[in-house]
Order: sequence, then C-alpha cells, then structure tokens
Amino acid sequence: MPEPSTTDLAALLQETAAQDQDAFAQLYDLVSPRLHGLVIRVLRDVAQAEEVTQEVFLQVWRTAENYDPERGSALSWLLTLAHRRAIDRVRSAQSQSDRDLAYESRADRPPPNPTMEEVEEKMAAQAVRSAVTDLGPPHQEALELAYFDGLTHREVADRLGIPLGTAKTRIRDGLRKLREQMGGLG
Amino acid sequence: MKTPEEHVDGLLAAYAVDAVDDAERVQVESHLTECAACREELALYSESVTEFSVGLDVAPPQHLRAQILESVAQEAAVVSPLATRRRRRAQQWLWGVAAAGVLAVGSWGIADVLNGEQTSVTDDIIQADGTTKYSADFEQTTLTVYVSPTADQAVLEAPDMPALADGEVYQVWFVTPKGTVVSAGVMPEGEDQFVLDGDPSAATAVALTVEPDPGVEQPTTDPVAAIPFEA
Ligand SMILES: [Zn+2]
Repeated sequence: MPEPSTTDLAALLQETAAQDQDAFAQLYDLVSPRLHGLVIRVLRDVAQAEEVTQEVFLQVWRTAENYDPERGSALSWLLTLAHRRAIDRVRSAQSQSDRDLAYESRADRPPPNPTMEEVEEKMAAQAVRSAVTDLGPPHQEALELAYFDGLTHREVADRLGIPLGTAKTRIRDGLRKLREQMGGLG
Repeated sequence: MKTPEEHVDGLLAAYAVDAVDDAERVQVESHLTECAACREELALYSESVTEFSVGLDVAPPQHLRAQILESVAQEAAVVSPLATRRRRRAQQWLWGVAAAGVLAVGSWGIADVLNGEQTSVTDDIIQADGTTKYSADFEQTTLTVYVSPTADQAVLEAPDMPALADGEVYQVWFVTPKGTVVSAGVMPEGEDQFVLDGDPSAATAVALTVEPDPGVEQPTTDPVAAIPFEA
C-alpha cells in the first residue's frame, strides 16, 4: 500500500475533529491496515487486536482535536495512539497472567490463536523494514524489544543483561540512526 | 547547562517507543509541556518510530469497519448537539458513557414532572426491593440514580448541587446507545431527590446539562456530569 500523504492525513484528522464522519471513514480506509498491522504485531492475537483497533479508532474520533501538527505528523500521532493502546493491553495482560501463573498451571491457559500464524506469514512476506533491519543488532534488538514486545527500558536492560544507561542510549541512538537513514531515503 | 538529551533522565527516546512505566510517562509528559526543545526532539523520534510499522499492513475485517463507523455515527448523534461551551472533562465523561453503552433499544414515553406527589413516589422507588442504584461523583457531591425493579421509573438524588447563575437550571437527560438524548426533566430547585420524566429502561446513562430556565427540548451545551448505568 502506498504511503498516504502526510497532508491528506492531517486534513482528514482536522475534519474528523470537526465531527465529519465521511472524513473519518476516509481516514480509516487510509490508515487502518497500518494501525491494525501494528496492533497485531504487538499483541500477537488477532481477536484482541480487533478489539484494540476498534478502541483506537473510537479514540481517534473522540480526540482528533488533540492532534497538533507542530508536534509531529498525523501518521505518527495515529501510530502513537495505536501503539500505546496495544502496549497497555499487553502490560495489563502480562500482570494478569503473572498473577494467574501463581496458582494456575499453564495447561489451563487458552490455546494460541490459530489465525495469528497466517498473519505472521503474511507479515514476513511483505516485510520491507529495511531501515530498521539496517540498524544492526545492538540497536535493532533493544528497539524491537521495546517497541514490539512492550518492554520498558528497564526490562530491556534486564533482558539483554546490559546497564540501564546503556539500554536508554541504545534506544536513543537507534532512533537517531533510523532518522538519518530515513532522511537518506526521503 | 543540560542538553535536551539529558532532560528527564534521558527518557525521551524511551518515551517515544513507549518503553517507560506509568510514572515515567507522567514525568516526561509534564516536562514536555514546558520544554520546547524536547517537544521538537520528540517529534523527530516519533517520525523515526513510524518506520517500525512499514510493511506490517493487515487490513482489518470488513465487519470491524462497519462496527466502528456505526459507533461513531451513534456518538456523533449524542454529542454533536452538545458540543460547544462546557468543560472538556465533562465532555469526556459523556464520551465514556456513550462508549460504555451496552446495547439496548427502545423508545421513550415522556411524561411531565408531577411536582405534587414527589416525596412518596421517590421513596417508593428508592426503597423497593430490587431497585438498582448507580452513582457518579460530581464536584463535591455524589449523584445517584435509582432505577425501579420494573425499570419503568427512576429517581435522581443530587444533594448539594453547585449553585447556578440566575436563569439557569440543571436539566437531566436519558442517553441511549442509539444516540438519542431525551429530556428527563429539570431539577426542581431546593429538592435533593426527584422522579425523572420518562422510562429509563432503554437508557445507558443519565447526563446533566446546565440550560436556560425552564429547560430545553434538546441540550444546548456539553453535559457537566454523567451517571452511566453500569455496576
Ligand atoms: Zn527538555
């Protein structure tokens, strides 16, 4: 899918803020695959992802007026909403399952979602995340643990066995490298 | 002097990928309100972050689109007549109320407030076996709606309501998930409890607006309070 132009999205968001339902529908058609794909990637569960995607778009409808073009592109605002909502879901499920595990055997937990496998295959097939994969292992690894697995910088440090300051630096430098590479592309 | 990357313990990039805990999120967001350098820096980080979702596109199923557009149409019907002058916080309450809506469909029989026999009727409803009670905080007080066991009548209890300007009244509304807002009457001055006009069985919430005396047919402002019908 071609990248929707930034100005289109910003204009549609503004019209959505003015309660324009047609603009909202257009916005949905333009960005829902991108947002939904991200939510699936984070949650790794198609059914839950559908719930979250729905919540995200209702939030977009309700809070479109909070979008401030001075603070970034419309796409990044939308992705931030979707990502945060997905991460919140992962973390609350995580703390729930931590509690459950204290008195429940793993066998009692629901089986993995069957359609997730198909989705993952599809994602792998269309993956063109060159700028991210070009980052090289230390930065890519830290960023993906944070962004896709929902780990905090503290948990990233634990998982990788590196000092906290190093985890923060890898996340920061990774994003900067990414910016340079994207600048080169654009 | 610290460079922006040292602000808020160097958490800005971690914040951009949501790799912060709740307390840190609050810390960063409060810093952002007062630091333009960090706002600019964050915008750049966030732009980089969009790269992670390139190539992950998965179109949501068609039914999801229909569901979302339907919810939005319902909310628009509830909220847009209200959207003008009241506080945003109150507006968000109504958003929440509308969103919480468990689907119930019905139409309203509207009756006038019968001032004469209120006291006994309110007691009958409040004290009946099986009456359901829903509450919400409002300013310094608590608003409570009692719905009769047969769900055909409701009482609003609203003690110590903030005083209004001359010529203004609190008007009560039944909000349904179908997007309709129906007047449930105007709060009589100096009464802590009163019977709401109409049948609450199809409502998912009661909302309050401030309106010109003697009340209006459709709300002219955002609600100042809402009491969702949920346990
Ligand atoms: Zn700063």
